[in-house]
Amino acid sequence: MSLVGAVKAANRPGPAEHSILFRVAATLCVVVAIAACWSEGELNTTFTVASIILVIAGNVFSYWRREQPLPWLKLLLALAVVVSFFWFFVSITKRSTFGNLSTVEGPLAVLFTLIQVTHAFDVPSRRDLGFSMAGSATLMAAAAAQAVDSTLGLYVIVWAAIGLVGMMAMWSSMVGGARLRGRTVGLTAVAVLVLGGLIVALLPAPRASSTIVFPTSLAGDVELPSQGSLAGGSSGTQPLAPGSSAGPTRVGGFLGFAGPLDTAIRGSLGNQVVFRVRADRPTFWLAETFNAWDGQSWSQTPLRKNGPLFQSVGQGPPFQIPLAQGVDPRATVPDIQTFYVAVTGANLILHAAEPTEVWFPASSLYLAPDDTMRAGTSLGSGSVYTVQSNVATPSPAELRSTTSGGLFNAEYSAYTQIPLHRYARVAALARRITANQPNDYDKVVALEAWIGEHTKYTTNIPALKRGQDTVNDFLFGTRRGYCEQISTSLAVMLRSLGIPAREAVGYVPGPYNPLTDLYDVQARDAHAWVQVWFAKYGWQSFDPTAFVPTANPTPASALAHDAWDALRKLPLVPIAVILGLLLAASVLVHAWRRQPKTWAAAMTRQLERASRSAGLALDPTEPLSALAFRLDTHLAGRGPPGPSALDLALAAERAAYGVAEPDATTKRYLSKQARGLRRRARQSRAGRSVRSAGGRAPPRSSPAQP
Amino acid sequence: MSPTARGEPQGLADELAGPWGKRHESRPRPRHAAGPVLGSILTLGAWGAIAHNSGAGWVQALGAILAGFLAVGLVVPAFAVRLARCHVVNSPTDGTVGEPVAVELAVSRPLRVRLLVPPGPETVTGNRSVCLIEGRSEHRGVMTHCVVVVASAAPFGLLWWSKKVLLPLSHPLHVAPRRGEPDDVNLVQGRSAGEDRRRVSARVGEPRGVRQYRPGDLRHWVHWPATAHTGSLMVREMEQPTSRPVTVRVPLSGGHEAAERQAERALGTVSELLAAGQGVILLTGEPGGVVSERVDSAQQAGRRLARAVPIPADAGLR
Repeated sequence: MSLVGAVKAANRPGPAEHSILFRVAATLCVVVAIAACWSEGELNTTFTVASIILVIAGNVFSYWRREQPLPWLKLLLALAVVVSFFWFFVSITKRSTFGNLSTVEGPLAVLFTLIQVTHAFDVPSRRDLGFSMAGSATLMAAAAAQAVDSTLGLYVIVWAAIGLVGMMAMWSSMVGGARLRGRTVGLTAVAVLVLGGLIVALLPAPRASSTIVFPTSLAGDVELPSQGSLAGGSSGTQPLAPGSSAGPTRVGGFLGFAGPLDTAIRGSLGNQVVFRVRADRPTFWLAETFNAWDGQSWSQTPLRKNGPLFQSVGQGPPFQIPLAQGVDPRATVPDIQTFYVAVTGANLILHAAEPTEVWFPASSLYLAPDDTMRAGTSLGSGSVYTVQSNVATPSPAELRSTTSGGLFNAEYSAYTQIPLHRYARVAALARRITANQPNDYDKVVALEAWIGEHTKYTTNIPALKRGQDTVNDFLFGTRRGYCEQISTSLAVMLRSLGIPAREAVGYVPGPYNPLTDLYDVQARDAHAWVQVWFAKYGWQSFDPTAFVPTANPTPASALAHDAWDALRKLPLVPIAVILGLLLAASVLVHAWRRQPKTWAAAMTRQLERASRSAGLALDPTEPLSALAFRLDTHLAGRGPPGPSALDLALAAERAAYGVAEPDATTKRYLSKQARGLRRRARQSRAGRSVRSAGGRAPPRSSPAQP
Repeated sequence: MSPTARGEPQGLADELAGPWGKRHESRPRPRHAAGPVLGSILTLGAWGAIAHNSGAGWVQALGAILAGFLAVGLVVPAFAVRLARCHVVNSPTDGTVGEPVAVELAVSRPLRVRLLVPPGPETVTGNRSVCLIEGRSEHRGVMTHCVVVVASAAPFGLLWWSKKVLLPLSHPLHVAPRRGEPDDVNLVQGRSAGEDRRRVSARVGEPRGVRQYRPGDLRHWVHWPATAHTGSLMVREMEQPTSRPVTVRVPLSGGHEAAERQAERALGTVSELLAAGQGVILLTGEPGGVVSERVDSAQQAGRRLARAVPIPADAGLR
């Protein structure tokens, strides 16, 4: 066959598809996929509604004309597709950035939708409907590429369920319209889910290619009046300040980040997702660090006298951040994080370890010497930025072989500053704990271990009085506290030993969502920890409060953990009620289906039950009249005389085989007689108290099905 | 495979003891698997590339669901076919080479079925548990079994898997040869037309009367007194030798094709003879020896010829 012939053969229209279920499922798949794109903001509402209406109308039209497709319509639709592609190319040429996939995905979703709408008017055959379903998968992929939360899950579940029914309807149509059975559909769904789940569990999480331009966007951004100022709150523009104390434990004071960190005030943190991060590895998301400690609060001070705290960083994006002095670039590896802001908050640029490049879509970015970064605009919900960091992950042996030297004098002074007169006991305690430790790293570890052994973690601590020292109170008083007290105590103990340390605040990685490949960071993930300076490796994080995993959790364990969490949160009572109702409905439907559909079948059942009650074994090959004769023989002489089973059986057989159908009155009378016969059979058996050896026999085919 | 006179398709008997084992069915095999498998690999590869480049976990999750669909669609049909059961409910007793025969087949699930031996077109069962499948035998013979190809692509119709099943027919099927051109048509009395090459003996039968001469009548039959009396050429009319049937010998000599043609001609001849009221004795070879028996109908002759094998040179009559 020539190439042209092969192409013609491949494009030859197939026979018209008559299965309505298949067509409806294919249409719904496309509709759900379009809705999914809309939910991810790739399509606007008007376009979405119009597309859905046209897709439905197109499929109705295609079904109507399935036997006689219009040849001129194909030409028209082909022209529409060409126009759609032309629009797409013009659109991406104008708006897209080379290499930036995120700028193409929107127009791509529109293009896919236009193709689906066009295609809907020419789907006469099974193959065409199959293409529609495959096309809906590409639309779902376009939506999935933009999804950063679990909302898409609802669309995926609905789409997959409809797709499953659609594909099974296609198969049914292929074999001449076989009926879809609920059990088969259920088993197939389970098989698909198990296989899909296994694949999700086994595959490593996808990682964005480093060759593309990273996504950035600003939402609700307002230029801040004061350069490098810290702003946030619900509107994102008012200055951030420490919260005020409220109640005996001062809960409710901390609602975000502020210039100073007041350890006397505890935050009231919810489980609202504040941002999501796509990152190579989980780590602390650093927001601010503090160098000055006054006994109750941490604050940021310029490292050099009269120097500015925040300085504007060159031109961007991307903004280039110089690596800290004393850090060996060869000891670090690049790490890329993309932050998706979910709640309007502080204008802090979160990052991991030492930032080197920031893709932030604004003209200004402000940097403090301690690597705290602030945006020049407010950060609204929906803002996206990407940071590349240099992360050093030295081994304990490497840290033991280095020292905490290498800082300039000013820096060293800033990071070892404590009011020594206040911390004599602390210094003595630190020296005693680290007396036998030969190097700085082991000292840090020993202090961490001591804190772990001698203190308790709780957020329910009494309010700190004004003028009271947080560290002394924690170490020599209550020995109870949370991350701020614990990390501050470690930092102060280290400083008392002359080891440069600073307080860091930000977030722990948060729960990993394997479906979105994002860490969903909640407000309650806010955390404080300690950073210690090591020559060559820079600031290293130590968390005396909690253990931070060093590797990505496996998708399977994360999924199992999330599933368990979700399960615990389910409203079990309503679910149990609904399941109970469904079960009851299922039982009723099952019982209704098992009901004999004709009078003859009902009589057959009654006679069989009577025979079983009498202890007779049933033979499925035995005619009903023969069974009735055996029953009559069996009951003869037992108890009072009653109706003849044989008469009833003969009446049922005559009705079943169309010889003579009794009138309604006779039917009622005979049915009553059959029930009486069963009672009599039961009584006869009870009287005998002897069980037939035959036991329960299989049901016999009814004469109602000749 | 072709049916033999012993009733089993050639080669099938060997296969029964071989790969098919005791189940009398072959292992399920995919049909035209390259397209669906390659298509699936390409689709998942492209999907993986998109997931990698977008870094989106949802794309990967969707891809996993898609992979689940594809895996189920490609593999589950093998189990569906493996578990599919079928048996012949009813089959005809007689057939003719090249003519369709319908076999009634009971199936346990929706399938596509077709007869492989004798070959026939594919049929979909739909919701029916019993369906009719047609086959056309290409060779005469007696079939006690048929081979059915059972195919399924359940549950998604992505890839067809099939197996061959050897099923006993409800009755032996005698596949008679086609009715060929009859030999020796002048054997039939009353149809001789003078131009025939072979003549029967002039002294056959008893004189019954005289009649007008017809071209082809033998010279010996001329009844001169009647000719003289009537003035036109009259010949004797003989009684038909009905008590002496014609023996048609079918040696089936030569190759396979030649034997088939002989059988076809034999059936044509016998049918002609029977249609003319002539008794026929059919002499054929059968696996048990040479059989020479009278046949009373074309169907009977067809069955004999279906069973017929070449007559050995030293064969005796049974």
